[in-house]
Amino acid sequence: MLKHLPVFLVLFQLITAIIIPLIHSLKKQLTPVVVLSGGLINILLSILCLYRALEAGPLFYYPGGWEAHLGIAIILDPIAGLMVTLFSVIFFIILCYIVGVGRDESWYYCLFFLLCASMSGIVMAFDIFNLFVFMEISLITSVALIAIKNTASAIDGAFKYLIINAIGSGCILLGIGMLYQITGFLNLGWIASMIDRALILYPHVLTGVLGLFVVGFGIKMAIFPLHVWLPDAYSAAPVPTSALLSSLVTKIYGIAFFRIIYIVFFPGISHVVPLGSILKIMAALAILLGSFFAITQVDLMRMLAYSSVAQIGYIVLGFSLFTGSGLKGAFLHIINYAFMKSTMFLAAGNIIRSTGRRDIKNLDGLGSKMPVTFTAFTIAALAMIGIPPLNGFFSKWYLVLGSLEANEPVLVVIIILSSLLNAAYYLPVIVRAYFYKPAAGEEFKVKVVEPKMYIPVVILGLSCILLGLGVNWPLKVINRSVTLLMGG
Amino acid sequence: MKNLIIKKITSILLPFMLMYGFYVLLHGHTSPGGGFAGGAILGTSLVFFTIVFGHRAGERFKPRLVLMFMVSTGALTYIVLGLSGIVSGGNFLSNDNLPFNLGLLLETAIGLVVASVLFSLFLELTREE
Repeated sequence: MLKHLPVFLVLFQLITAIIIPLIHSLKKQLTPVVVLSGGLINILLSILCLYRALEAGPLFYYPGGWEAHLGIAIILDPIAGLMVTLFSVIFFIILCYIVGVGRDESWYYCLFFLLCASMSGIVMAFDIFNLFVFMEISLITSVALIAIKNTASAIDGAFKYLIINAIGSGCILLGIGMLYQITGFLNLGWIASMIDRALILYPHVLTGVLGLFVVGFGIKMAIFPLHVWLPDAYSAAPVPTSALLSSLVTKIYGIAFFRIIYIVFFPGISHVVPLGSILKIMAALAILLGSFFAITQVDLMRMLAYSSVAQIGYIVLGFSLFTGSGLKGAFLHIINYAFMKSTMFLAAGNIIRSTGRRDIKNLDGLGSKMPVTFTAFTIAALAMIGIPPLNGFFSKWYLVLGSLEANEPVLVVIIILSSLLNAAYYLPVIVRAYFYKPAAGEEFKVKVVEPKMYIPVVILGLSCILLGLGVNWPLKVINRSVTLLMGG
Repeated sequence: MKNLIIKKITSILLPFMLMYGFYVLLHGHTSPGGGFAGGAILGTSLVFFTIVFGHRAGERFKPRLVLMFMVSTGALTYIVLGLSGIVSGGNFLSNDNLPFNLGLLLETAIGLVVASVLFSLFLELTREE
């Protein structure tokens, strides 16, 4: 029975998504119970997946019983197990937050679980068309999750998200079609076995495929010049949506992209296109310019959104170094970043909800008014800057090691410089909140934040410290993933 | 719409449209068509009925709630049918050892979902505030 685990995980999430509106229309009081227990069972199933992947190595699953070259292939390897577990944990904490806020909308929960199912599908897909289908599900659900707020700015943001990401999907679909034309397969393993011949026969087509994939996945990941949809969408969306989309969804597209790159294209493609250098330059630009944009923002949510643009740069940088330490840094940063960013978004949500203010200038003296929320925010911000005992330091450390292994000292300078820039936009918020007095006539009317709203934030903030002190535990799983990607 | 000709023609055509929808849906297993196309035809015929006879006629059956249940039932049926593959000893959705025609039942589930989603989208978009 354990071999059906990957499909059970996705099915469980789908079934939960389907039955939530039904239960809501029959008996309203039961909805939070069903949602939370669904989230818990989801965590258990994901941990079981991770355990299975670590114990027995990569597990392939073929729905319908068709063989790999004909049908759909699903893979459950340490990478997929790790990502599924990470996603379900963050997902559950955010669900707790939504239940705490008390949204009385069954569709919101339904869409959340659908998004969760599509994410599990993306990380476990070993077949590029299946990957594309799950990406479309996640695109539609994300758009709905942003637009559900039903304000003018939310609809505007969702529309931008939809149009620009649809262009990305189009690029990816065209790339998949071209890859299918020249290799004859959709399964990643089979494509990889045909790629050497294709590189000799059709180098230009492959260059085109790669360009389409870089643009398409670049839009989905919001890497620097293609990030324009992100700030509008994230700053206008409901807070739990932006927390989930920012902390995990864009990164999981990154995992899918680099899984294709590492399994199919690497290392043969480097004779045709300097892929590593292109991605490194894009990542470096994203790191620097994302931080510069964040410094100029006056709105707290927009600042956090631009900071996401900078942080995805680190992840792409780690993957595009093509060294062991770089990969470790990228995976570690995905994990750490998920906790840091969801802490900050949920804390910012609490701040906006209880004060009604979004401008950074107006937050003077808030530290003493909302001590718990602001402590969590501060921890996450310090982790983001990279202060040693916190988790953000370790991922940057591995990224620096990876850059040195890849013989790229310039990137080390960029990483260190960007830490300084991170400090330049996070520290003013903290300093203002703790050490400034509110201007005369601008005193706060702070609504009391209930424990059920700040406890999720506190748990996330604490896990930033725990992941920093206990960095060896995620590294064990990451090491397995890295050997899998590097060793083939 | 108050035009008598349109109403008469619609009431004559509607059974044939539904019939054709079911034909495409059920025969799609062996010929072009299938759950999506058949469901779209069924959904469109319901849309047609609502346009001609007005929302009142369509809303007699509390359509939103019924449609939601139909969408959920269709999707759950698909999942349960897929799981029957596992019960019979194969993989998810495999029909090697099943005593019934899995594809036909799957098409029906898909058709149910597509028809009800199409009709509920139409009702949402034309809702009178």
